[in-house]
Amino acid sequence: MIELNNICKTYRTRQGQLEVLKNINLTIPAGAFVMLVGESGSGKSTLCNILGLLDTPTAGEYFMEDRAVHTLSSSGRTKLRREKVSFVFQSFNLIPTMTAWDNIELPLGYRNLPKEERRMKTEAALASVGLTARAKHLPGELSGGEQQRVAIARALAVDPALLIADEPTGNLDKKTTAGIMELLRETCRQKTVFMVTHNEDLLPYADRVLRLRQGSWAEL
Amino acid sequence: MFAWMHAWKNIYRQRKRYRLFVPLLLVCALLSGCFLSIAAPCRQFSEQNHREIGMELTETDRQRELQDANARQLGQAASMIQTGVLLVGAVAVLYVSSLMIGERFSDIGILYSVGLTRRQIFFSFFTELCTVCVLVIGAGLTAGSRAAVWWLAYRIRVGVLPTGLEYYIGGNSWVPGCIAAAAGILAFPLLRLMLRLLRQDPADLLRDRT
Repeated sequence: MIELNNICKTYRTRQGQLEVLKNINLTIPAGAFVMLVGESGSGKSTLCNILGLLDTPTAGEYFMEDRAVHTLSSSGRTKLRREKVSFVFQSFNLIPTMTAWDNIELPLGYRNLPKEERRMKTEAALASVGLTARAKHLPGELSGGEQQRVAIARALAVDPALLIADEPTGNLDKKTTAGIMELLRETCRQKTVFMVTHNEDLLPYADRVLRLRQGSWAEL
Repeated sequence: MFAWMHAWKNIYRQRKRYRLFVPLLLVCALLSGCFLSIAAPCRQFSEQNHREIGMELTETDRQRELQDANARQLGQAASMIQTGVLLVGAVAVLYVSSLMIGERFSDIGILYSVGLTRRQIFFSFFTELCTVCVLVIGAGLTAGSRAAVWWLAYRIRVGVLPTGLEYYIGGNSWVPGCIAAAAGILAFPLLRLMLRLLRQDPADLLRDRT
């Protein structure tokens, strides 16, 4: 379970302080599919980064499975992120010089898994997104939808408790978007998914929908 | 072990990003090895062989004097060229290596997002750069010094340089200098990478990419 209490995030700019998130409170039960919508600049990505332990809040409390994340050091957050969190990004964020297989195997390798276990998990992840035949292809040789499938496979290969998807369908056409959403729903049945989107057509896929407006919760 | 394998594989994968760095470093190492291998023995020979020549010079004395002067001048010229090569080469290699590392900052954000620690990312880049630099500098210095030794031996054989110079060829007094230069070349991009890693939030690195 994830719990945010009075989370604030402020950036310093040349024009002064920019308050991106204002007293955000949120509870996400384990296994929920939560979708976050909002206009550009409303703080969606910042909230994603805080939830995914890539960024720290300026104030507030964050609990992940009863662990007080806000009290952790940088290395503690990295360790927790490695154990519990995976990301899927709009721009796929695959390493362009590595094949689909290598991209998926990379996080497994740095978790010191034995070679055979890495091979099995990578194979299973590729099979779960239907890209076994594309294992040796570079990201540049794959379509946008296929690249996003590889990114999802990479995220799922490490068996995270929380999957954060920051506009994963933002660069995809309607048909591919539907495929990716089905895939996310299917493969993440036991996982907590927190997804940011601009596309209101995708809201039916979620168990719960949240809307951010200028850094605060807004009525749906 | 995986980190080492990853770094080794990366050298091949990232070969396009090394397309300027490797040839430039190789040329610098080659020229450095060559001119250092010429300058060092010539200088040592000139410093340690001050011959007493009588008032009346024989033909052999004149020839020896000419050969000694050739060795001295060659040593000075090679030293000057070597300094130039090191200065120009170091600036060029530093510039190209900083560009190359700059191109890969976006990869750091991805590596963070898939759960690598700062230490693992640094180690991955460090291993990769060290391997490339050691291989390229080693190959360049070896080839350069071999070429210089062959050329000096040829010049001695045809009588342009004194035969006594043979005793000084193949010395390696310049090796510490080369290692220092190579360490400097390595240190700059790594330092820049480290500073960037320590300064920036992983979220910023990913934002740069998107």
